[in-house]
Amino acid sequence: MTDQEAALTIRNLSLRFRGLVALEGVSFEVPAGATFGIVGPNGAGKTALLNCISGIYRPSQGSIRVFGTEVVTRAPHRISALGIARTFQSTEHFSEFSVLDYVLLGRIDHLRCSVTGSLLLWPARQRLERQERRVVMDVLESLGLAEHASSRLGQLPYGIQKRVDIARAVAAAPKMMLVDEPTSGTTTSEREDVSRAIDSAAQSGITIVVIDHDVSFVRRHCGTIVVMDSGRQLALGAPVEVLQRPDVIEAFLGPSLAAGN
Amino acid sequence: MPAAPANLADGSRAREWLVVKTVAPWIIAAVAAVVLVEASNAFLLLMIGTIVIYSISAIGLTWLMGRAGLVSIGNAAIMGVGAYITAIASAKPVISDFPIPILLSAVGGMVAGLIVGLPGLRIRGIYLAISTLALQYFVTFAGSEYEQLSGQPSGLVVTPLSIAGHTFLYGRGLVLILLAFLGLTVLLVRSVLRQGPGRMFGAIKESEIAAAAIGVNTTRWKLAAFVGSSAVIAVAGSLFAYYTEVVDSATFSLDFAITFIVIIIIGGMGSIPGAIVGAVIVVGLPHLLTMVTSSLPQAGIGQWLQSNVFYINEGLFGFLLLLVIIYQPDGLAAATQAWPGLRHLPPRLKRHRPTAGSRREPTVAPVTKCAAPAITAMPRPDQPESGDHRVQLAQIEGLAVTYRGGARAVDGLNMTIDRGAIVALLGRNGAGKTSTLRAISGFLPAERVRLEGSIRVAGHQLLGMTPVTASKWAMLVPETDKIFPSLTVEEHLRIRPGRPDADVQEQPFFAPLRNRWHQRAGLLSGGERQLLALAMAWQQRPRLLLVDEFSLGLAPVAIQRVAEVIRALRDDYGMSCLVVEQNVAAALQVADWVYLMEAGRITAEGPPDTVAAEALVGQSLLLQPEGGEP
Repeated sequence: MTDQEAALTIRNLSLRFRGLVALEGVSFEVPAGATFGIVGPNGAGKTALLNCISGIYRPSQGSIRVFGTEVVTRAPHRISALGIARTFQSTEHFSEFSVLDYVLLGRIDHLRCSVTGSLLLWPARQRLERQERRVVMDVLESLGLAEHASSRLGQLPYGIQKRVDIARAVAAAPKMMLVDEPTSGTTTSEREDVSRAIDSAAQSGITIVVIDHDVSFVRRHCGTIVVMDSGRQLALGAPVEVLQRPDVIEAFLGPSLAAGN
Repeated sequence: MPAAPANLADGSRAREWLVVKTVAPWIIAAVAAVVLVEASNAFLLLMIGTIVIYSISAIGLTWLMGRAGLVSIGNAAIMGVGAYITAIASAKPVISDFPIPILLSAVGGMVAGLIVGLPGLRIRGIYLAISTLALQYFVTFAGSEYEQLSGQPSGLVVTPLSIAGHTFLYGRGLVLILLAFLGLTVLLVRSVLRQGPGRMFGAIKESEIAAAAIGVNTTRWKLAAFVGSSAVIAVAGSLFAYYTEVVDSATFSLDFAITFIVIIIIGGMGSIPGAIVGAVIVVGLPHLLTMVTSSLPQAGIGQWLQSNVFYINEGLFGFLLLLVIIYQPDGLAAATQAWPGLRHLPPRLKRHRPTAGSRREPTVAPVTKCAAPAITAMPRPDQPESGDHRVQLAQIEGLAVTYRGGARAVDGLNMTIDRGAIVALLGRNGAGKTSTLRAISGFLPAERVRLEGSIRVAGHQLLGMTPVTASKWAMLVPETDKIFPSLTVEEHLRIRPGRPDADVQEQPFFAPLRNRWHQRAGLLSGGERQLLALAMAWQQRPRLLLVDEFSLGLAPVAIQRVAEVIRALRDDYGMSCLVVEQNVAAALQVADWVYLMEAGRITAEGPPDTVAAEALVGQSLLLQPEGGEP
């Protein structure tokens, strides 16, 4: 597979914090338009991996190419400008934001704004804002979140917060979405809503890299998964095959239970 | 947009109403201010002029601190920069015409803001605040030097403001001009904060890292906040120069800087009306008090009040500040602020506004015993201490935990823990496990979290207790921050008076700690830290030990060792234990009974044998081979 076809190419990626190994020798490739899963027990380095891709951590070694562009030394906002949107494991950071404002934040690469612009071209900017609000309202409506538009993010149930976060990423109209544990803390019915949101993003051709603990969720969405354990890449392949390997089961359940199976 | 045509007529009317609702209060306020200026006596006029200038400066500061979350105490210095530039420019022939000195002040303020803001790219919080102090010292020094050099040691004299040949000395006219500047400031700053830039500032305030990941250029927006707000603050300084007619370096002191921080805290961080309300209170209250005391008779208490009015004012402020911070942390303006709430939402959203009650329906999810029917029929395993007569140690009924924002982390949880049992509470991220532990151990009331239901441990109601009181019965070993990195192991075990550390040293299950006795806890391995935390908890001898994620980040061998200690504490001391885990395997190593939690409620329970484990695991946690067959 050539770089033109791959949305994400990771080669020999390592991340260390003062000797503590968070990632070691991770290599995989995600073809454009695919949905790719990252699974593994807590502390395996899954979120660290996403943080490397979105530029929050600088890897100690290795290369990350996004649509052919090396991103390892780029600032986070310049990585997101390549068409990468990312969701967070928890949305507690933005609890003071209204849902509408939060999703508008996702439009950052479409809605140019500046202090001088708002001062000198206020009416024009206001028109632009209204137009962007309509775009965002459409996204919220399509994900069944329109009724929450004026609520404060922190006041909503966790499952809805997760969907709003996905809406923010979708509103960015990205080429690739990095989705961190979209189903954590959700109820069964909320999980179905999250699943539908992922489905509709995938159908519109967005490449998706998703971390999740829910195996049925991973099976349903991901063509290929990587299993991480203690910062290392344990297995790579189709979920049906990979999740039945004894070493993978052991990584999740520990030796005693795996033997019991 | 299918909804648009239907809403069009309705929507535009709604928008008109919204405009009226938004604009009307400001117009009323403006008219009222003008009428007040016209009607006021000299004393009131002096006060109003000061309030207006302070409001402008506070609006600049509330932009920086309240909206962008950047702490600065360099604001007095920046006002000083504006004042000096105006004093100097007003004395020069060409650039003394209105509005050139004011514009020059704004530019000077922007440069100063940029300089103050540059350290902010690397440091934040209290360090940033201290770094802004550098400007404070510099301006005071440069100002007094310039005063000496120019032969005006008691301050630079400012040439009065002159517009189109009309000179404005102190009086009604000047105060009206100040009011016009306040109006302009409100308009401009509001339009910046209501549009995209406002969201960018909000994002860097909430979390710089998350904002960067979303795509916010944090460097640019932090500098924009410093530069923009400093321009506003410097204009306030410029107007201050015109108003007081003299610029003296002693004016722009640290005390002065802190006055504005008090203003925005009392009025409400980040709120423009709040900045004005704060200025009215901070400037107006002392004036009012002085007025009242001076009307009192010149004897007895009246005289005492008059001679001490300055100190009374200071004390009053301290008191007011405390009251606001404790009871109205969002500021006084927020308390009365009904009108700006909805202003930046498109009209069609208003109808959808959910009521408080619709956040989550209070439905009661039926607690299912384990999916496999065989499990419910199984008896609980014998407890080593109580044999066949199981005695309940803890009963938790209808526990609900509601955070300040309104989010419910625990939503009607019921659970019992037998005496001498080790119970595991399993569930995914965000299921409410840690909130449950923190509720039991008494940490939540201090965080203003609402608790409902009942938590009885050994007959004592723990709901609403402080952690210190609750720890007599139930003690938490938290997931993080369970040890003090700079204290040695020995020091840790001597924290609790009357419980000799030798006890711990003698315990075989705490043996690994003995080799580390004089080492700082920050150098311990994850497993040793966990042992140390357990040892400290054991010193307290609680009836119920609450352990949050003991396996996190531990190697399998270490997990096993910690599990052994938890079991030993139960076997030797009858200490019951509630373990919260995401690592199913680790939990099942120790547990006699397992609860599964999802979205704030218990959804299943059962013994931890293989069948139960599989059922629990299959239900939602980890690997489940499709169709139940590996």
